[in-house]
Amino acid sequence: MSVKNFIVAATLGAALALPAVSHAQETAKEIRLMTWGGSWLDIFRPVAEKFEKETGIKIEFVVQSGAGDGLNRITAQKANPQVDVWTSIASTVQVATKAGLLETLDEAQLPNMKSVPAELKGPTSSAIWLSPRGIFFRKDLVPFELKTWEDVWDPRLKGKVGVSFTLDRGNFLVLAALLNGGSEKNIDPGFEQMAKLKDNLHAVYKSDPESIKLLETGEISVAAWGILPNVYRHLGPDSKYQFIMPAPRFLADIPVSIVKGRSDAQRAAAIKFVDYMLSPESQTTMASIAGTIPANPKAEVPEKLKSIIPPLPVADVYQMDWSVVNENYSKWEERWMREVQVRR
Amino acid sequence: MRSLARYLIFLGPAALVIGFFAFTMSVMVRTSFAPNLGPAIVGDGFTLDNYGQFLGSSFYLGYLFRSMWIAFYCTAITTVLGFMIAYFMFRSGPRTRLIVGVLLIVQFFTAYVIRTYAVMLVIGRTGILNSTLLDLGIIQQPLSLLFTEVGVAAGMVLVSLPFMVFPIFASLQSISPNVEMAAASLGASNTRIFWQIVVPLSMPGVAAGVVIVYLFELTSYIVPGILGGGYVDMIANLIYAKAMQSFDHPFAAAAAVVTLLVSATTIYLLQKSFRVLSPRT
Repeated sequence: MSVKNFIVAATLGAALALPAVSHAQETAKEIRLMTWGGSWLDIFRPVAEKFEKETGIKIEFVVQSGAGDGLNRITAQKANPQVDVWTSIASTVQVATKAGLLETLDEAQLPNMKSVPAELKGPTSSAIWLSPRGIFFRKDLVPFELKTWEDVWDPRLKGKVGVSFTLDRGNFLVLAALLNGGSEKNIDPGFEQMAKLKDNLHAVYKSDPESIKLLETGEISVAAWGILPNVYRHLGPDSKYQFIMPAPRFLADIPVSIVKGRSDAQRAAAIKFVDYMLSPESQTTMASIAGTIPANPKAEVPEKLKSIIPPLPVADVYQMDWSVVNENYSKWEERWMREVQVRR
Repeated sequence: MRSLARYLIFLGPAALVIGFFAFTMSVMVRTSFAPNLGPAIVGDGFTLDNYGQFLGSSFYLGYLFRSMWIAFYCTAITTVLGFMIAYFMFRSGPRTRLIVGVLLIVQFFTAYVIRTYAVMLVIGRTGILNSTLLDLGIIQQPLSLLFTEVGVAAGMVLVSLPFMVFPIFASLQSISPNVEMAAASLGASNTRIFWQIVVPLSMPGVAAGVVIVYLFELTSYIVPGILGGGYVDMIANLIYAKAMQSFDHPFAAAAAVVTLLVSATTIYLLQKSFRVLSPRT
């Protein structure tokens, strides 16, 4: 064989063999969990390490920048998924279920899932925790202590407020609608309410780390849509941050799912891990780190969390119809860009 | 035979890269003609609806035109500043050139996102600029630079300056000193030498810098995302929102294809213009 032919053959052979080599390395001794990065990994790591010790199955973490990013990845990988277990949010799980991307969960194979209340699980997912949403603010930068959602609209907060449309897929817009007599089924009052917030609005953030950065630098004094786990470990008597959870209240149930299309061995290992995550012990561990309410009622709610949120069970929790949100999200997004994300 | 073998050593990797790029582009183009059957559900059919939706909407086209306008004037500012820095390096001694060159290169040691956040710390409400101006009594209230077009433009110019300076500097270095000496010996003033000899001969470098910087700024996502605060979203931010948040992949693909065609046309026209401005050799 001439040198020329050898080089061409070697190049083509390497290109064709690479997927086969990487596929041969995937075994049921390792599964991939796709979840959020940064401090969110600290929530899952102790559980994953303990699971590996007890079962010998290693958990490899795949980081998603957000639930939407995760959904896009499993959509793109539909023919050959590279992820076994996925944590996301209720709205994206609905989209993924409709798109046929997730396995149906069988409680016979997931005994711990039986303990999870019916409203926190669906055919393709089970909540692993309930995450409080509310208002973060810098106690040292606001002219008064916020107590209600309406306080965000107070003229004394002119130019000090940040909000988000993308976090929790339009949830803040729905909240604005609720404050003005509307809902996700009647969103016009929400845009009317947002028009009244224009003078207070200084930034529209797209991720929770961005909201924390803006608060830290003092660019905003109030993050009007906050996710408690982001600042949970910073809260305390001497903290410059405060978190409030006024009515109507929002508890985001964070679901875990198994991605469809993996091998039988991968799926069996994934089922074991999901069941492990739903055990009272794992649930207690994750809740204590994250500052969330465990989905399994047999687990313990962190004492620190009880001092931050209203007494359990939390009253006045709004139940969002995510199917309506998903159906209208694109239209709302365009309208938000036209009407809210413009300077006067 | 040997030269053919050497040629093929490079052909293999090049073919892989080009092939991969061509494959992804073809997937994007195909998706742009596919019907959207719901969030994250792309149909198998063929439709022009996505293009119609983008091109028929003044709102969506506004993102493209605004991006082109911002990229245009930011590139102009970057060209002027870049030329000044490159010319300063050209006229300076080796030590000064090295210091300025290192200062420009060292920012590549940090990620693009980090550099953009650094700009945020400078122009933010409690940033270095406002703190200094307030302390000096020049202003009584912090300037609103962040989350405005001014802030985004400042960020774009700062992060893209090195891409303008180095091509221009390379062009200036290629000018033979004999050319300037000959012009001076024939009575040309320094000003005339600069405008009628140095600038025209530096056009190849300017052209290269303009093309790189314009494309970089037109398709910028991180700078408007971080420094714009949602108020100065450009075309890349719109495409991202449609693809990653609305899960409307066909529409996002159509917007991306249109942006690509506009970018390619703009670059072609820019290159034609620079060919006219460059002296024939």
